[in-house]
Amino acid sequence: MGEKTFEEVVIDFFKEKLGDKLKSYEVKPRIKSKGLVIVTVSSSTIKEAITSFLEKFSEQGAKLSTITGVDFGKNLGLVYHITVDGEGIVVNVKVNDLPRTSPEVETLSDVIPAAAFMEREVHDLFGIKFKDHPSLKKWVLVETWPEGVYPLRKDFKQEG
Amino acid sequence: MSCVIPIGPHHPALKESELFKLTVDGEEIVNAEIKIGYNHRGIEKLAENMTYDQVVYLVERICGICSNIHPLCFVQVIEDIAEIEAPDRARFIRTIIAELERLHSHLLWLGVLGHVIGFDTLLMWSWKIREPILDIFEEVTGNRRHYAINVIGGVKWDISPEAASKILNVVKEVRKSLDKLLNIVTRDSTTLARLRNIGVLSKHDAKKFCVVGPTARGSGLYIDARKDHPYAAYKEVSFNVPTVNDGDVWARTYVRILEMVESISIIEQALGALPAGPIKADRKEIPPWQEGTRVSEAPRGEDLHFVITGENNRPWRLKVRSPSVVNVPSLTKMLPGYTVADSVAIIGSIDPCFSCTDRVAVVKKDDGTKMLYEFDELVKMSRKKYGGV
Repeated sequence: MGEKTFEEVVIDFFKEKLGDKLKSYEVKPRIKSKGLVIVTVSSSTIKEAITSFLEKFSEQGAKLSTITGVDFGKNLGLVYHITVDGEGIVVNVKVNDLPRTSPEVETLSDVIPAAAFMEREVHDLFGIKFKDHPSLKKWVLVETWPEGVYPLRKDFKQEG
Repeated sequence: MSCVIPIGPHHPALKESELFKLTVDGEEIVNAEIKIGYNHRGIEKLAENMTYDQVVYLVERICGICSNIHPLCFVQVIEDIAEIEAPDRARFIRTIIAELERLHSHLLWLGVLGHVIGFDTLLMWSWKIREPILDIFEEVTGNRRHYAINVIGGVKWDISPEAASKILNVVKEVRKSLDKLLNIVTRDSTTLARLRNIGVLSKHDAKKFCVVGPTARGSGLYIDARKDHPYAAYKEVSFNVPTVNDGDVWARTYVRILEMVESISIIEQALGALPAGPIKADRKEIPPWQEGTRVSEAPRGEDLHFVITGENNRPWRLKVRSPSVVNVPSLTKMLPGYTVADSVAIIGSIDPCFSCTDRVAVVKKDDGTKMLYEFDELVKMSRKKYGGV
């Protein structure tokens, strides 16, 4: 047995930390580059998953690059993109179990100031609420944008 | 008396609009609030109705300055998903174009910085040095901006031996001129007085705000997507990642000039080692319901593209995280403690496509009187601070 790749180290970390709240995991190869680790976790554990990962791999330069909202059709979801700069890999931590009506997850803004802005963007475009966020004021949309209309959801149709 | 000074949001001549609400106590900024989105064009939504080849053109138009990095990042995500390997020659050409873009972007930025601190000679020099680089783009790709050189599987235009020697001549001249710029930024006492010890972002805060690119490297963070997440031909060339620990406007300026020196070295190495062969790989079908993520180093820092593929040759979801999105919020940390006159240089120092200083309304808290300043007046204020005209 050779030494574990960093991709395997990442997956082992999530397995150990989250137990059965880790729903699935895979490593996607990337051309002439290290792999892309994709883990899907339960939304109730997302804060623990992200903060513990960033803490554990802060030496390796792990940082939260951004948060993406996704409309999976039946549910809404989030992808937290973590770049581990010292190891050259990207980890996508995915949540896909947010109900379309009243989607809500815990905020990361108290731990990572940058996340406050990323969460405001997702809130604008997908209507996902972040519990205990200091201010979910409009960030990328205008202040006069109608409430309850979320342009990046699939049921929002483009006109013209 | 404390009052709120909104800077922005619109200036028609500049390409990005933002609103900075500065709360000031006398001359000192005590709080800064930011609102972005005035230029939100719904590109991520538009992409969902376009074919992958159309999206390449769409993302190129996200930015007019770093227009090459978005398509470069996007096509690499698609290449990962569809397992299309770009030929070696294409990877080297991508590297050369990306570094030429960094050169022109940094020079453009340096000129603008010179302008706002009242040093218009620096603007003239810097943009004069930049001009031949745009000519190179026209020669190789047919366009001075929006080169449209990246396609899924490779590049569209080759670099001929004649063009290669022209590029070498141009970068040789740029290198000579950089010595002059380095001299100014490290020795000229007036320039140093304007740039030193303002807008300081500590290494700790830089980490907390997840800043990237020269903003991070000016605060002593050793990160660079070209080294950390190698793409194109960056593994095959050797270069340094300069960092400066000071964290002030000067550090962000100095680090960019050092980066230009590295860019020139990368271009020379890549042209010297340019492999022969095709510039585009055969097309393969792009499978639906796959996902991919790539990061690459734009002139302003790490750029991230995330794609979930959909049916009908169209993406289900495209997410673009350009570097300014994380760099701009860090201004809320950089601005407090400094003066309104310095705010222009501080905001400019993260290279957010310095816009938005179109008009400034000073609202006095006690009686609600409003005064409006034009962009020119604000620049004048910035210049006068140290006795300029």
